[in-house]
Amino acid sequence: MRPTGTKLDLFVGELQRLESHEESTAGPDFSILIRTVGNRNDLLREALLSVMAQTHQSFEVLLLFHTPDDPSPPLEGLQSLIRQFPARFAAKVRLIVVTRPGRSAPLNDGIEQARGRFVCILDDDDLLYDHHFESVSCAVKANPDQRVFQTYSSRRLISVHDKASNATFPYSVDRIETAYTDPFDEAKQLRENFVPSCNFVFSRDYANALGLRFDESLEVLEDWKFLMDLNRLAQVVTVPEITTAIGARSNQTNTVEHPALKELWKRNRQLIQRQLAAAPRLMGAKEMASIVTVLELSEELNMELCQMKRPIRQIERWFFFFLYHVASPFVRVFRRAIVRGNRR
Amino acid sequence: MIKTISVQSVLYEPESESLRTFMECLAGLTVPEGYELTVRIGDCSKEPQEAGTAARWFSEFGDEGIKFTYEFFGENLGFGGGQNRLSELSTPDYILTLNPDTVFAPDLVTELVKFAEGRSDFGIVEARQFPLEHPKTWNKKDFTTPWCSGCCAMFSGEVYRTVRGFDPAFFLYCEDVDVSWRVRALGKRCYYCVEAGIYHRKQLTLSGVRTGESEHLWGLAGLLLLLKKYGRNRQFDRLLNNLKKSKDERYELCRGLIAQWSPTLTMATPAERRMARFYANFAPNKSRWGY
Repeated sequence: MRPTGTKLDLFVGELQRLESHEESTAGPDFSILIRTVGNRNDLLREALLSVMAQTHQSFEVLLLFHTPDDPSPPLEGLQSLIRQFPARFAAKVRLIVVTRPGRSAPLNDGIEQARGRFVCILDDDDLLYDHHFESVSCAVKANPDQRVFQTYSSRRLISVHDKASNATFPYSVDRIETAYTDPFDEAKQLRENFVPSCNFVFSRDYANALGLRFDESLEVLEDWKFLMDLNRLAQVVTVPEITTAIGARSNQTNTVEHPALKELWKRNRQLIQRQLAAAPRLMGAKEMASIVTVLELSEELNMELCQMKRPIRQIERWFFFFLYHVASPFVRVFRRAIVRGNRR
Repeated sequence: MIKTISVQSVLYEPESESLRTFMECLAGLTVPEGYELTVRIGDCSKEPQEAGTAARWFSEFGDEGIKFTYEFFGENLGFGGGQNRLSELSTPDYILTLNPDTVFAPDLVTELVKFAEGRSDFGIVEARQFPLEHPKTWNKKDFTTPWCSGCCAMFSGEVYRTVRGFDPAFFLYCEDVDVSWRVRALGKRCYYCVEAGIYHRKQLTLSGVRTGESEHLWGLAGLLLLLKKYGRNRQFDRLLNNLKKSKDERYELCRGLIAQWSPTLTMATPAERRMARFYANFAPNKSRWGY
């Protein structure tokens, strides 16, 4: 008889929940969650324009206004921003105020209130290329049983234009480069996050059936943990197209680069790695092969390093032998000669 | 006295959804105080049906304060030819050329007008494009740039008429470089307005910017014509020879197009030639990034 409480039980339970969960049919194809703290509306406007430009128009926008320090924040700024847009687009935007603390809180509230079949995330300083939804939609049609999709991104290094006042707008781009353009690799992803939050799209039903939400105890890297939770049962399908543009600011105000946040970053990374190591996961043959390859490579490198070290140790030995037996008598003679010379 | 702005766009078989979004943006434009705004659409498509849709969409979303005109050309005049035809309809104070594959906020015109006003040497000002900002350089102190992209460029109406608009010999691409150099030869300047942002539907692939078939061919033909017009005969021959040596399929096509267009080409004056600069790969600008 099979003992209870095994890893297999956990998976069977989750699969049963998935099977029993009723799929929602109403609603648009995509819900895009945009979190903002309301202090850079000019950038947010460009992010919204990039959503409006989508060639696939079946979507809704959940604008998540995060104000943990103010239970009744002024909404005029964001409301007037939405009103600037044509009525057809403005009707798709829902403004939601989130007062709970933590970076993950608005995302979780967004998932709760989303109506789209698939959910994606966009920060207010990131942009979409106009084929983001269309590319994912094509991938969904080609892989109807898959629940999680990943696209590639480019990075825009944006310089703060008015350095004297440190104004956050206008921005111009100093450099554009491709970034995060590797296909999803579970083994690699266990070590570090290689998929930015705007580059994964997941089925809302799948997340709801398993009760998957962003970890609100994390202060950074919440997207990494969430993606790995999604990946525990579902394969991640890579759509090999650059569909997003991540904004990186040159004045080090990104959470990734902020010097004051480095320690926090390290702590959260270690915490997630411990959590990932503790939870059982289903791993495909490809991922297992990838891990075996990495282990073999590491073993080979270790061997090579040992072999390289052997002659170095030999040289070290000869050097000390020379110093002790050959050079030191001469040194002694010279020292005596110098001492005698000084006495005279 | 009320000043006038003409916002002009030339269509050619546009994709329905992107045209609809473009018309919504046009209809939502804020008119700067003391100005009158006219949106002029010129259609180079084979059939006028899209234009009818454009007019309907504009009236559906449009502000009553903006006038709207639509011209079906019945022939493909190209970008410059189409813009020139639209500019002949009136004598506005400012002419804004806009690509139909753009999406923008209502204050686009207001920002550009605010920038242009009070600059006596103003010739052309272009908006900052995103998500792929144009790779050409611009001066961060005085906001000047060697030339303005025609995707979203606002001309002083007087300057536009003085230089007689775009050179119709250029069918697509490089006509904006040519007109900018001619404007600068007049003693006017080309500017870059970072405050005015415009979403231009460009895509990035792993090997660079995605270019359509038309851009691939017409871009090269436009560049060859530009070299010829500005008397860079050696560079012109080298570029053609490179195409021939590499057995590029565009070689014969480009030769045919150049032979067809050259008789109508107005050669640059010595003052205009002094404005011309060509950099790596014969490009008329230095690229700020490597794609």
